[in-house]
Amino acid sequence: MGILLWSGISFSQISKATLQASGLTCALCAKSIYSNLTALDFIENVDTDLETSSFLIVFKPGTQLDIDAIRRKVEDAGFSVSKLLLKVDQGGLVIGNDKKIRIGNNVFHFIHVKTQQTSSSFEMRVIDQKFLSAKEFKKLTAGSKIACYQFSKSSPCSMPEGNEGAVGIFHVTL
Amino acid sequence: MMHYKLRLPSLLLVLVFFCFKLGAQELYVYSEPASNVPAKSLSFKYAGKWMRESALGHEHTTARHMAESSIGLGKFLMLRPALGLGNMYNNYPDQQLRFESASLYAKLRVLSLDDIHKHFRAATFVKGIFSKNNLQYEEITGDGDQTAIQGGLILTQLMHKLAISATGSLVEVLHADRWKDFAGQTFYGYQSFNYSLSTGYLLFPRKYKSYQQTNFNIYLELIGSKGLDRDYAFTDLAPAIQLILNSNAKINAGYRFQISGGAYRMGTSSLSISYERSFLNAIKQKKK
Repeated sequence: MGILLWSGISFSQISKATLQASGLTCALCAKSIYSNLTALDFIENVDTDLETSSFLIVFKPGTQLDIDAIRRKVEDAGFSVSKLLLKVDQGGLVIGNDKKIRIGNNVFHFIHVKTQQTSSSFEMRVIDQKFLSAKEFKKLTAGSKIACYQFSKSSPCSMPEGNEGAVGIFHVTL
Repeated sequence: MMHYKLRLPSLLLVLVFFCFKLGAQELYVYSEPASNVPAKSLSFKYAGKWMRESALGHEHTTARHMAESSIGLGKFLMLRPALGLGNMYNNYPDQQLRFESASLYAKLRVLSLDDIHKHFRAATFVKGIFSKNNLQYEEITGDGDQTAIQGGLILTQLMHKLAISATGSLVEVLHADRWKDFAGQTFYGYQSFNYSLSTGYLLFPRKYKSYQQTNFNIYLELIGSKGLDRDYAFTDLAPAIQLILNSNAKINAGYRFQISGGAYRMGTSSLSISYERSFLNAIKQKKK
């Protein structure tokens, strides 16, 4: 199934991310997230909006992006990721519901998206379980017929052929 | 006793009202929240406590100085070894500071429900305390007054800058006297239920702009203890203030005083001042 819907390899880059953390209100708590994120070697710079507990992350160009490592750093600080938006600097990608696209060293499986061609740059949101609130995850999975993105189902998302080098596969939406 | 029972619920109401009205922070001065220090972080704390001692007839000031280190072993587990010096149990008029206690505290976060600007957390903790002090008072603490073991549960709710935290614990005194023949005839107990209800409020800054801003928090905590093998109970109120500098150092000052009930205690009021410095990512991970 995954192979049929596979739309081809693209090596466009993800240059920035906006991360919102949940479970905190204090600057001291945000500082622990900030400090953990800046320790990652593929992150160049982190800007914090303390009022909203949001972190604007700039990635080092040409580095391998480890999305799960970002989440683990927030959890190590004692908090959770409630939103992760990735900014993709490439237009002209054809995306659609249940399509898998390789961007950089990760494969992204699009959910709840109409078939369309992306503009010059776009933001996509990671919607795997540990990247949003429990309530939102339930809501998003309830509306999806895609087997690997359904609440309480743990069928793994199949990696499309030709992506042996990819480090991860994540569900995303616009 | 009747007096005590009537006052406690109304005080709880005042406390809850206080935190709904003002909003809160959970880096309490007298108690621990269910949240842990960040994984791989280290912090060092000096805490001083001064008390007017009158229980043994000579009114004078006694002191205790604690050195603590909090270690974030993982995202769920933290450890805190501590050493205490003091002259609280010296024979008057000896004021020499002596080694008093060594303790190890471990806290395990068992539940975390996070949402934007809110969380509900639960943690369990256990603390082992070795103390050189002889049993002198009825009051049982986990602060180094007696050799003891303490275990308990912490529940903390943070909601849009409002935080309430409740702690309940059992303390078992393990002093050698407990197993001596005269144990039943002494005026000290060996078991207590200790509890606290805490709230706090961030006064400044009104709006967060940077990590360098000094934060000013005020706290109000209700701290109590009930003897389980002796019939005593008391409740203290502890207002405190806290400055957080540069998002890595805390200066705390608090005054704790008895408001209801009573027990044979060293004193019914004390002053605490402490300083804590945190080092994030201080424990290096092995490279994979």
